[in-house]
Amino acid sequence: MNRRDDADLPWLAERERPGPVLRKGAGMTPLAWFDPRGRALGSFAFALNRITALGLVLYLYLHLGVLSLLLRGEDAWGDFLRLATTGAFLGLDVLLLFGLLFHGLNGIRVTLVGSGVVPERQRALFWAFTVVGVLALTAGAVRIVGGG
Amino acid sequence: MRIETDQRSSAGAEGPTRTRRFRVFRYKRGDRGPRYETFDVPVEARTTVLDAMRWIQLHVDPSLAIRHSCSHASCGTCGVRVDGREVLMCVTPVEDLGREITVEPVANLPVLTDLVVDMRAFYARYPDEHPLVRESELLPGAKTPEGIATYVRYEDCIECGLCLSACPIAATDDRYVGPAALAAAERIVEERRGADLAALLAWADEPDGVWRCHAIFECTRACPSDVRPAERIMTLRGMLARGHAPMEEAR
Amino acid sequence: MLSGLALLVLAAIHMVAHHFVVEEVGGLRTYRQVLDYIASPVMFTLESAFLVTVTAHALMGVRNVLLDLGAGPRARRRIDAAMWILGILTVGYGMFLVGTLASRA
Repeated sequence: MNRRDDADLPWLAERERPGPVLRKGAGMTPLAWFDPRGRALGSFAFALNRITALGLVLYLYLHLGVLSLLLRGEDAWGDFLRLATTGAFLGLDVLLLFGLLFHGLNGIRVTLVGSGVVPERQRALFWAFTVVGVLALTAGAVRIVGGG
Repeated sequence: MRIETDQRSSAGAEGPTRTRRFRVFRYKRGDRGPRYETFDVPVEARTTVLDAMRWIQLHVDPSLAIRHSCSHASCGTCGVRVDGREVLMCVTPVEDLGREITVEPVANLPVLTDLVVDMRAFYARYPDEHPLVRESELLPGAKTPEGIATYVRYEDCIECGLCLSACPIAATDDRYVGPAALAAAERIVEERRGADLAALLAWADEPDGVWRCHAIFECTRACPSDVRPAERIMTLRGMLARGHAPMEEAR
Repeated sequence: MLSGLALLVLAAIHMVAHHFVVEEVGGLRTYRQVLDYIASPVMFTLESAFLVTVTAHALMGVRNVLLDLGAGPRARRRIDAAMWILGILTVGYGMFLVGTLASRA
């Protein structure tokens, strides 16, 4: 019997051919991080952390752009201040405060967990920080919308 | 002498037999793509997902491919996703699930056929120092090394791949070595066993290592064996940030 | 660049600087008040430190998001280079901004 070359055994190549790789959520795109199906609290915190992060990066550049109005002098800044005290704008300020609070508190939580200070208590910390965050957000929102 | 024959009742299997609908992932090599097939399976109080899959094999479609071995959550071969969550089929009671139950292979590893994935991509992630076979610590007179209160048995890892499937970062980045391999590395660092620790920590410190983890803890939640890979990764990161292993710290 | 410790320090500075900003800026509204605020050497230093820290933190975060999408060694080098350039431009422009404003007070 002749010894055949691997090339004569097409099933060998077939054996090496990988099948489909399933992905949770929306596949190999960032959307996969934001798909709640089959996910738990940690994924929710992670997704919201990413969303607030990207929002805050956007805000950083918006902020630099707005502050550039100062270069144009007193009148340009005055125009902006009038816009910045409208109701819709103050609503965005509350949104910004939420982003800062969530991202900041979640960051402290992940640091405490990640540095081994309380590696086993990430869920308890999440809820404790949620309470702190909600209180701070409420106080901040009242101050922003009410007193200015 | 007369040996009594126990008449065993069908305890635990009491109650009427009902039917559950299983939506099962199907793929065979050469198929144009995967599909889902539904099977109505009679279930009893103690029926597990594994029982249901074997019922399908026996009564409807012998070509349904599954992998299982021990049937008591210690071999790690029957990991799948049921309704999107990573589980071992053998210890997942159908009773706890809904009327229609979706069964799919684990994510992030190539599907070989139906519910069976190619585990080579899983094992290839492990560091070279990972001891697959090692001496038992259950020797007479064995003591824990100084500075270690108890052995934390990361060998509890049954290498089922559920943590890798659950990890949101592994979902978007195949380069990430993943929770199981990093937990194994931390285990080796803890116990040493003559491994080259500097090399091992350098391996964990690679861009595709511990720094890709974002403390989401899905791996810990998915782990059927209480290895808590996320906590192990956090420990490794702590060591790397401090620049040395904890046992050196204790000395 | 990505050590946990560095991020910890960064985040701490970020928080402290941010608190200063919130407290001090709370009443700052008019053009003149902004100029007086930024002309103070302490505030100028704190704001500059905050600018560098927040830019570094933001761009390391963006880098992380990009790396999580599966970047190989080459893509990683490109991302790093892009982040450095963007960071230097951002800090450069920010320093120009606070410097110009401080000089007008």
